[in-house]
Amino acid sequence: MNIVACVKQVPDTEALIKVKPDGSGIDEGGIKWVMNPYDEYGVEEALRLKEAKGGEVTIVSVGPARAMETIRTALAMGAEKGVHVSDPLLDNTDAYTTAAALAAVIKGLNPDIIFCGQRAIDDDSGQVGSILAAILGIPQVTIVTKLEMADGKIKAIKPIEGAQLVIESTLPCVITTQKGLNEPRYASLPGIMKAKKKPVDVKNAAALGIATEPKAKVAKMTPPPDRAPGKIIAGDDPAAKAAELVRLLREEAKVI
Amino acid sequence: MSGPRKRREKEKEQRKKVILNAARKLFFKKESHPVTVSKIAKKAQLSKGAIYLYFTSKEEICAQILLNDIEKLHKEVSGMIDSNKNATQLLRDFSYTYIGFFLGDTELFRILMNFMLNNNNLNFSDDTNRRVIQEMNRAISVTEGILRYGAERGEFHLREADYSAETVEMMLNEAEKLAVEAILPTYDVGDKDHAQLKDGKAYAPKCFHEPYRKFCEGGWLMATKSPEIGGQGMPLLLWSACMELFNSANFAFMMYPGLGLGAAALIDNYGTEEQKNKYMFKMLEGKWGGTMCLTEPGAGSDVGALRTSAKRRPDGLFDIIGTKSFISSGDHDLTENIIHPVLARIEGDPLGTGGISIFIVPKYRVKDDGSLGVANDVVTGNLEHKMGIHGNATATLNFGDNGKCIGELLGPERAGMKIMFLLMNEARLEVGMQGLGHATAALEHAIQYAKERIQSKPVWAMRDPNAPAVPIIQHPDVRRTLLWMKAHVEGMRAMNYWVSYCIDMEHAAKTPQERAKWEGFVELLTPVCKAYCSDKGFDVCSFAIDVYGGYGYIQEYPVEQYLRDCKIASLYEGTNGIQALDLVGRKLGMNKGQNAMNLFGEISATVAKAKTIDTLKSQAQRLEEAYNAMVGLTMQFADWGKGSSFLLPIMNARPYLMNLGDLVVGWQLMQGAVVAEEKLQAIYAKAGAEGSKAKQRALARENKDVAFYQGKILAASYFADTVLPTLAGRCTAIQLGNKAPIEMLEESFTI
Repeated sequence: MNIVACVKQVPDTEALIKVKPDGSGIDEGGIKWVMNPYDEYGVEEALRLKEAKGGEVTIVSVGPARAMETIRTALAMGAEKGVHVSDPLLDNTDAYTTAAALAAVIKGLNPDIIFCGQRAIDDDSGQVGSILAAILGIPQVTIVTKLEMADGKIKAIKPIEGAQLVIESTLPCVITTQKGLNEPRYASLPGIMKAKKKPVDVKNAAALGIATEPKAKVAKMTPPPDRAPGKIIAGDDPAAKAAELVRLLREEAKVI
Repeated sequence: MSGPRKRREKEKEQRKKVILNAARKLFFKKESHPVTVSKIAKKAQLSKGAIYLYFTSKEEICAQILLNDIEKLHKEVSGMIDSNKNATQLLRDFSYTYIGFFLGDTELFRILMNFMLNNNNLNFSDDTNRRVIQEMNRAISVTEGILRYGAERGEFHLREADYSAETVEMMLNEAEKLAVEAILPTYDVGDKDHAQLKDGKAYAPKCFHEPYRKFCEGGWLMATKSPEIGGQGMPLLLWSACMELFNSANFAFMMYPGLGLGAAALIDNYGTEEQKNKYMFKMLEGKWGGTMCLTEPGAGSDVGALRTSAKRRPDGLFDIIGTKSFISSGDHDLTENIIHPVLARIEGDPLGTGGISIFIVPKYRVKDDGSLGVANDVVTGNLEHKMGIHGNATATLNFGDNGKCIGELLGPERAGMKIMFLLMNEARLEVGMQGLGHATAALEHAIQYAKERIQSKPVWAMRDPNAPAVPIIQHPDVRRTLLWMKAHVEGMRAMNYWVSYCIDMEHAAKTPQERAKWEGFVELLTPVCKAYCSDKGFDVCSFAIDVYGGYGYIQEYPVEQYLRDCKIASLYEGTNGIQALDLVGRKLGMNKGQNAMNLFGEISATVAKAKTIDTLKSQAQRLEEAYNAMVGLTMQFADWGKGSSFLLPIMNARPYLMNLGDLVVGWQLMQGAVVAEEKLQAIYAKAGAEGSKAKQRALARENKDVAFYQGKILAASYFADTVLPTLAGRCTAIQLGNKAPIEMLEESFTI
């Protein structure tokens, strides 16, 4: 099987995120970068599929030079090769352009199945996998927690509120992966040593022939407002204080 | 003291004074004419032979230099420098570097310092071998000073395999992931569930199985092994950084793969090809575990007293009979078989350590096709109920109770102690790493807690009834405690890593002299790493409890377990008392004292370098004073050792070891501070913060690197200003030569 797993490099979940003073983005100083955790499920599922059915796994990532570390991590986990779309024009671009860049790479790879994390934990947009499927003109199943493959088809389970959907799809298709699908493996030491020698193609936007002008732009980024301090109801009479509390809950907080 | 002896002592003292005065005059007044031993001998009215005798260890080198024309020496060095001889080679070949400084030969030292500072080879731009310390739960730290130490001399040979900065980074990341996500969650669970013996079968805590599998699957058991046998050839320096993470996460767990690795190393070094194929590879895969079986109920520190016996069988194998106690990872269910290296005496062999052989004794016999056969009559008598490391099975093992325990000889007969020492030396370094691991974890917890726990107004707002309580990290006493802990942890880390680095260098050495030098550092510092890091590690754990206050004493909080787990490190692998004897009785005098000399030389080189940096000048002075005090004490020991006071060095071996540990830690911290200072200046220059304390502090708040480097310098300076000044006093105290512990009758010890 020819399998593609898309990965994005994101700040570590425990990194302290600071917004730049001009609101144009986050301050990247001192941040530890990791593979998007939802993408890890995708890489793991791709590797398991390969181990069961044979074939190879290609890792594709769009991101600045440092994203190479994340590609190498996936290669150390066991993928065969990588493609790194690295172009300053694509730094901090929007979901559509990212998907277009991925699509341009993936078209040439002719895969049977493509994995994307259901969303990235940095911007939480959750669109890239779907747009990618639309550009490639192939089916998609999003937020998958269980995947089976038989007779050239996949059967995927997707949780919805109070139930779960069982969806069948033909191949090729895009699967976006959700927590619960599997437990991603750690890269082994031999894997790390081998990863250094695995091929990674580096391409820019021009080579892929894609438009770099994003369709959506981040106008401004602001940290969430500070939480207002709590209110202490003063007074000596418990009954009066209770009445005041009820009034505030009804009139100010509007919760009762 | 009898009359004649007293007179002899007095005479000796006088001779010593005359010699020292002569030497002092010659060296420190920089008399430029050639100086010879004969001249000193004449001045001291002694024979040349007596002078040579006096100049042992450190003094021996003096004597060598005395024979040289000092001007010629300077010319020689300048010539080598002019001919652009490579820096590394120069420093390696030319041990006079240190000696020149050591003897106060400032001219020689100036020439060499200039060279070192101006040489391009010594400008280290390799920024990448750096990892910044973060919170324990997300943390990794490789002491930059050490990595740079290698880079500095262009000597950071990486064994067979290629370790780029990127690879190092990835491996540390994976080690951290494994430590934090897989091993750390078993820390308290393993303590509560502990290893158990049910119906004669031993079980490791259930939660250990999964991390054990992951550890083996990740290839970590093979990390430092040669690529030829499927390993990764990882330098020990990097391995130490990984081990610190694993040990911090759960040391009781790490003892299972750790002992297996150690036992496999014995077979690797001394086993036949057949034994390697039969046992070693399965051990390195983690399928089979291992132990080291030395201790017996009647033979602990005195291994020579062991009673386990080996009877020759007609097939060339041996019947093993005896009982071994306190066997770590002695029996468990993590692996399908356990391979015990067992010390025993072949029937008829002499008593004492010289008659001991070592045998491979499997828990289950191994058939020719490699599959498991019947049980080998190794019966677990009990598991100890211990103060800590509950997750590890400490077993009493009965070999051959039913006469059916078969072992095969490992290496030659009666070479058991020599072979086991390979494992013991490694194990001692690992125990040092254990102390460090607990200390690192306890420190990180304490820092986190101190930042979160809100209690008491700050002292400057005590009178303000409305002043809010603050996080306890704002209270001076807590800050001082934390900085004491940090300085010791970072210093111990650097010391342990440096010794690992020396082992790497020993393997990479190209000449026998070079190898001997690195090996000498390892020999000398192995007992120091073991004893100092276990004792100070325990202190750090204890202070962590202090930071928590009463909560620290409660089992719901993690720090009391570190204290319990850490204590064993002072006791096993040779108690710290034994380590001190090893240092003072064997290691100091090894190579005629050259190993200690080399170490002192390294320290004085760092002192000189730090003295050229304004911000570190006064701390470098502290280090130099501490260094002088230790050199003096070492000479005193040598002197005592030759006379009637020979019990004094033995009695004071442990304080000596702790003093030397403090000196080495102070040195390593200084080395780190020198590097940090250079880094900081570069960052300050870029940010326009030179010379402005306020700007530099502000920078530290936003830039983690700046905070890290500032922390390095402050920890080094705190240690230099508060710990090192006590060293001279502690040396003097020993030199007073109080003999009360020796002279006191046993009867008087009772109260």
